[in-house]
Amino acid sequence: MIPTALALDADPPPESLASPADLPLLLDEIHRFVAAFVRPAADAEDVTAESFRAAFGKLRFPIPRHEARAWLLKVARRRIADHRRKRRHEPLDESLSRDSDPSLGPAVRAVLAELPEDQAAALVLKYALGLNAEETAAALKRSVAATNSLLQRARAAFAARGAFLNEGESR
Amino acid sequence: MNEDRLTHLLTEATDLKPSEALQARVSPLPQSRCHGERRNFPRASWFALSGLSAGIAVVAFLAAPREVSAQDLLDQAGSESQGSSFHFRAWEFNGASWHEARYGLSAPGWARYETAKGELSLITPTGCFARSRRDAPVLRRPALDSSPVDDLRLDRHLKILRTLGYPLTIRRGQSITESGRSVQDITIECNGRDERETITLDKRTELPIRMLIEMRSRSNWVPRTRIEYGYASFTKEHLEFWRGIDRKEIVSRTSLAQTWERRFRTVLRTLRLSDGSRLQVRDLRALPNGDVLMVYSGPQIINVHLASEDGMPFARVGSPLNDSRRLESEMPDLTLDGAPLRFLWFTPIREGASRRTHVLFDVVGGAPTPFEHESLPTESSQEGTTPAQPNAPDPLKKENYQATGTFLLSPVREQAPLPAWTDAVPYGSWLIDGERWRDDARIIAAYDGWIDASGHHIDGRYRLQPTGGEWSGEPPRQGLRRDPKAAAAALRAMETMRQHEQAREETGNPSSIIDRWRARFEREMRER
Repeated sequence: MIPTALALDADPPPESLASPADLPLLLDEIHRFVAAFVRPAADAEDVTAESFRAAFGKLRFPIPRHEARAWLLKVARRRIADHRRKRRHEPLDESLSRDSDPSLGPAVRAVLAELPEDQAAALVLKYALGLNAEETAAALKRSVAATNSLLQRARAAFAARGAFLNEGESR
Repeated sequence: MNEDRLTHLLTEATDLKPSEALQARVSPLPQSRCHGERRNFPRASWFALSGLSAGIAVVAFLAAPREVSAQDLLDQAGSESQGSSFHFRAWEFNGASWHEARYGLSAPGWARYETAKGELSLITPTGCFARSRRDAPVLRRPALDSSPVDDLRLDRHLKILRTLGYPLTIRRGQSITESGRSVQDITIECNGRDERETITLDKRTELPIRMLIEMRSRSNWVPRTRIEYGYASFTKEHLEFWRGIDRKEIVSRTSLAQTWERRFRTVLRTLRLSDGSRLQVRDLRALPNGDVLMVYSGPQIINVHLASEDGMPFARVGSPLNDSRRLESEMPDLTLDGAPLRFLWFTPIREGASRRTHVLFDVVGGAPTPFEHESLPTESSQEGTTPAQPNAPDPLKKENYQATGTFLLSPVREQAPLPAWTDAVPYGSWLIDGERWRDDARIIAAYDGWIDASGHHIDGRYRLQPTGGEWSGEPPRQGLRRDPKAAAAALRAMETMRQHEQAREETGNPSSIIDRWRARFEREMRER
């Protein structure tokens, strides 16, 4: 009954999810999204799992992939907000991360944490998950124009707060 | 900062692969339920744990009960909280010592609990079916998207209790360090009730590690049940165990279950739903606390509109009047002719809701089908017929209406046959001498004003032992009838109903709540 590892890098992802059994095809994206905002890794997995559990009872199948993703992201964003509220008095403790991270990851996540939630979400969807403009807009339930405007503001805010992240970059 | 740099930074910051454990957690159960599909639920009894705990998930493991010491309890404290599944151990206090209840394991989304005395509780993703002290099944939490672990969170627990209308008094103890973690006791009392829970929370995870349920006995709080929680990753062994539980036909072993099966075999009303399917109502009643319980066979998923006599919804606080509730129902262990029996029950959102209930059903996407239930059947004939008998009074006829009456016992509570004469009282429940439960006896019957032909109230005591039950007391010698007080109460209620109807007819004024409700319903029907 326990499934084997999912084949996430085989054929192009289907445009439509036929049944709940297809939901795990979105796991990588949703988990990466959550991982941008929730650490340590165990907490990120909990939030991800909670988001999927919510989907099993709520989504109707078949469902277009982008709709399922948008729904899962909506739930994930709520769970992330809940998680942040509970932990708001605790500093973002990257030292607890089981994947001790010598990269700029913790610093980037710290900058994301300072941005308005919708801006941070838009940046992660576009640049970390690699969604195009239409997919990002669908995930955020906004128009493409509104999303582009949001991304513009988000990039500016990230650059302002994360200017130190450019240090050492060769142009 | 250019976009390439941004991409590099954000990709690096989110470069976290889902572990195998996470992959397992997000995979659906076998034959996952989609809307409209039938979930392959494991067979489980729907017994209930007495107490006010909502959202508690406890699971049965078939081990012989044994006496445990206080040190055993301390030694067996729950493990570090993690993961999405959990296990429990539970003990019951009989006034002198703690006896281990049956403990066990959970599957994602499912949990069962069984005491040494055979009382069970069932948690499903759609609700925790637990039985209150008065044996009225109460839907503790009908949410559709929670996990068992979420069920245990204190904030949800409190929200559920408040939603059910319980005024709560919550006291928080000091935070202490125990086994290397910071814990805090939270005591929850429902004002006016004789039960309280003390939950020990792990402050980091906000999940409970212990719960102590106490009952008040003559102003003293007496421990009743203690539950230890442990959280561990779900393993293959858990699955094997769960499959073993599925195959055990716990309910079918009891003769009383067979008694209830006979009753449920009677179809009170058949509804043709808008999609052509049939819904057969086999039992429909208002419970003493105002809840509505229905047993039926038919679609697993139906939309239900609920409103009481005065138009107030039975839905939870915040639900608009006549809001369609998609409630999942099941009675996993009882089947008739191969088809599962399902039940629904609904909790009023305020006290004092009338027992006259307008219940509407439709299938998903269909139009509502009205089914108005007025009350319970009248007393049976002196020969002790039940509604299952051909000449029994039709419970749905207005002349058989009773505002008060005897109500449903959760059938699986009883592990031994009741005396035969109890069948003479349909849907009966009896109290011992009119008192509430006592610590030294397992009362499975609530007296509701029945007296025998000689005018004496029914008196007796039923004691439930792990090996079976025993009855002591005087059964009525000649038939049964209601006592004058109960009859008077019924007449008063009927008069109130009549006045409502008369006011509506005379004034034609839609300002009464009933009429506003009806007008709104009729408008919605036209708009569909």
